[in-house]
Amino acid sequence: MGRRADAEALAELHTILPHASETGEFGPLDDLHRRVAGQDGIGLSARLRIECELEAQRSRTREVAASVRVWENLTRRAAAAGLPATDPTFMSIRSYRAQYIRRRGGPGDRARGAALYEEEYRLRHAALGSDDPRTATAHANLALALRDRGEPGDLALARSMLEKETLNRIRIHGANHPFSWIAQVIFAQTLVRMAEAEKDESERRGLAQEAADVTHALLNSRRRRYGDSDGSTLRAHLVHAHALLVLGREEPAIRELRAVQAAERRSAGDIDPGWTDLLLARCLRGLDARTAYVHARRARASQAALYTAHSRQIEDTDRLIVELAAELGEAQEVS
Amino acid sequence: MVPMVSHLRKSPIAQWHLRVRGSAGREPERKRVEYYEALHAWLEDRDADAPYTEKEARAELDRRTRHSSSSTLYSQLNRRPLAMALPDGPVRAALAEAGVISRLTAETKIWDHWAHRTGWLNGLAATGGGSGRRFAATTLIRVLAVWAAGNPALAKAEYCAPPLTAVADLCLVFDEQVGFDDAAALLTKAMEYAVGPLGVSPLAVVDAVFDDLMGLGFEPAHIVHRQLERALEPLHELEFVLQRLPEDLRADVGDRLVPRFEQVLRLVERSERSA
Repeated sequence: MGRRADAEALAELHTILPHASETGEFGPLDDLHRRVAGQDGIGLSARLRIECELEAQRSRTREVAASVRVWENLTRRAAAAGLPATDPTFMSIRSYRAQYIRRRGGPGDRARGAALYEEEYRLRHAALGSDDPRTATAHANLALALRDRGEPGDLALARSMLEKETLNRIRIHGANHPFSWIAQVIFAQTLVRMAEAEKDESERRGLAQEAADVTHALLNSRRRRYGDSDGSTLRAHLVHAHALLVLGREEPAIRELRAVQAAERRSAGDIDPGWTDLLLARCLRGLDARTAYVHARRARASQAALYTAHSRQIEDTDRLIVELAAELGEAQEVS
Repeated sequence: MVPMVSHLRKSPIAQWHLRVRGSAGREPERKRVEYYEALHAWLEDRDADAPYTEKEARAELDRRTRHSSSSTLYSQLNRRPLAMALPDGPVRAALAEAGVISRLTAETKIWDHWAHRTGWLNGLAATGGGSGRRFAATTLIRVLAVWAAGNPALAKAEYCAPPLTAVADLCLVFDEQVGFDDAAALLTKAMEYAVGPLGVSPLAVVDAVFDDLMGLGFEPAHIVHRQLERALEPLHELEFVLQRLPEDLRADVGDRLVPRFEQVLRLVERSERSA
């Protein structure tokens, strides 16, 4: 009975989950969670899996600090229930905890997020081997966390890890598999970050051009697989537009970003809040400071729903807003 | 989606299996089910990649079900044979001529996958209308991958043949516009991925066969034209009503329709450019 009840509940979960991811509507997931909570014969791992997926959906629009509390609590409960460290649900819960701690952006959060990802990667590597997709996911997450931590040498280390990860995924799954594309997008995004930090103009252009080439090739593939409005397609567009911005090609970047915003309105694309507006603000900075300022303010408003005022995300946006306001003031004085 | 779900629940092969399981006041076919459970347990206990002969398998099942010979197994499977619930074609012909262990394996896969299928149907019903055939087909594969990854020994048996209920379901999702054998081939490929390293991520299994799925059920010209006819029919009705509506209501309709048409036009123009 238990095995069959678990199978039925988990199959229902796997059916409604893509619906929740695509539409942002998680009522059926909430219903399933409530039903299994009151049903005898469902195992703890299956129960926690459903709760984990529901919380993952809720975390998309909830204040990040609140999500951290939820994931810390779920981690404690899974450990107290004696789930083995390699239980797939427990692995997911720990990854979400690391992700939201990193994203909270408070003092020490990025370093702690990176440390938790490192621990997770080592555990999976030892238990599952290096070629297992779950180890590969933890490896890419660790690279991303190091990149965001931003200590000396982190960016270069993240780049080499992601290069290796991309080649490994292409070797195992082929270049035409979405699992390979994920590593490529994170790799391209890391190249853009390196380009922004690079002082040598030719190096800078080289890195940004490589990022633009990688994402351009991926855009068609993702569009064909997921459609124009899906979050994964839109994220590839954002990295591509960011690369164009670094290359000084603001106008095509602005066209691309406006198309992303139109698509975002049509879908529940899972895009980091404020990401598109921030890029638009930066692209428009030298062309139309007033509109740039409006986009920066919009980014700030979107971010405020998820991040606290002292997070690095909001502090970075506030800095841009102050700079744009100063530029606007100067422009008004001149005119 | 809900009419599709009720259609799926009543498919001939689902009806066949419900008689084995017992439903609507009917007793389950207990001896037949005993053999399913024995086969499943035996496959799980042995090395999944080691070959076995039909004679060895029959002897093992007799031992596990405490029958002195395999005549009970033959008589069970010959009562209302599974092949009779399948549409005409190579899969049905092959199953009708197959040995008793191959036939038992096909039935056991249906039996064991049933809870997953039920969860899938419940999920389709819970997400209501609007999600469409692509959603139903991709989630069918996703759930099949979950089952195969969780039961690799049974899933691998008979060269990763999928549960025939899943094949029939995929055909129904595609409005019977695809062949049973082509649908079976696609799901066999998904099963092969699911029992391999990709099985840890059912979504990755869907991704691995996605192009094949589109090529099978969505991109052939006759299916595209059928889809187009279906889309145009309500539009024709809408056009008729629109001419009668006051301007403000017409404008409301336009606000909803124009961005969708623009999107379609962009796609049509994109194809023309690449042609």
